[in-house]
Amino acid sequence: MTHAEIFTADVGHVFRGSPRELTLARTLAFSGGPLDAPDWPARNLHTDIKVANDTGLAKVVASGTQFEGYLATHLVRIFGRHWYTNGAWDVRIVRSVKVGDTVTAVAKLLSRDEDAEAVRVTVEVWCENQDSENVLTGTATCVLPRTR
Amino acid sequence: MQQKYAHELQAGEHYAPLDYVVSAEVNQQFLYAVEDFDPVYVEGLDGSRAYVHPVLLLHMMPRTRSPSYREAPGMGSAFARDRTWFLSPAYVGEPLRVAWTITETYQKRGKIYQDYLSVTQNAQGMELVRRELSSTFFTLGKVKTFGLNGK
Repeated sequence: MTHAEIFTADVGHVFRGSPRELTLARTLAFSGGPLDAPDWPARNLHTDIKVANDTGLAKVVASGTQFEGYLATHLVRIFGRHWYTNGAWDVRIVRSVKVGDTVTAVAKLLSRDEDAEAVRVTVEVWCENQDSENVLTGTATCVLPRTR
Repeated sequence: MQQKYAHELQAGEHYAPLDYVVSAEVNQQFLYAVEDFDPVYVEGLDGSRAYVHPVLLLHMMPRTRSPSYREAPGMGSAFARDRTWFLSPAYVGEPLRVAWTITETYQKRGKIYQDYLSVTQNAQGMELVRRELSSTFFTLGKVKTFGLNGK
């Protein structure tokens, strides 16, 4: 997918990202601190069952920021480099993600408002797990120059 | 004087800022974590240094990263809503600073809420990422929220 598609897609078009499994290794890489730290991985509720249990969780859950990262990756693919300078989102995390779950970032085109110089694109965004349950919901916008 | 616990801070108060630099190794660790191997994060773009992956910038912006963040015994925290503006890329190897300002505190259904602004700037003072985060505090062992702020 290139960001040029966002200029031609119909309102309602759905852009689906690649499914990502939150394996233990990737969760530790995300939440365990720098790999060369002497006490790696750091113990916290995203890496350690005892800490998770003490918090009231039955299992280790992934950091919400980790699957926000899937969303960021997906939006960079849709909007290209413009996401780094003109991207914004408003999201809520609505369900926890356990180690071993698979999460997919999705964006649905809501509107494309153009003026002489720029195109403001709004998409509904969500991340869903392997059971098609939403774990993150919200909207994102990006302002793109008319010259591609 | 003993420093206040996080849930005792009120609107207008700040958490101490955090200065950090992202190395190529840590950046690539996060590329692995989120399975995003776009060359822009390794080689840069149009002659620039490698970009820091956005998720790593986000990861450094919850208030729990502040050197002054102090949670009361038996309490945890979670974020409820995240509004983020990506304003400019950050580069591997450049000094970055995150600053936090509490914008509102309130109670709802027996829980303490704290809204705060978190801003990442580069050494020139340019804002790179701005986040408005709504968060709750909860008693450990009774967690029912999902966006946990583990450090």
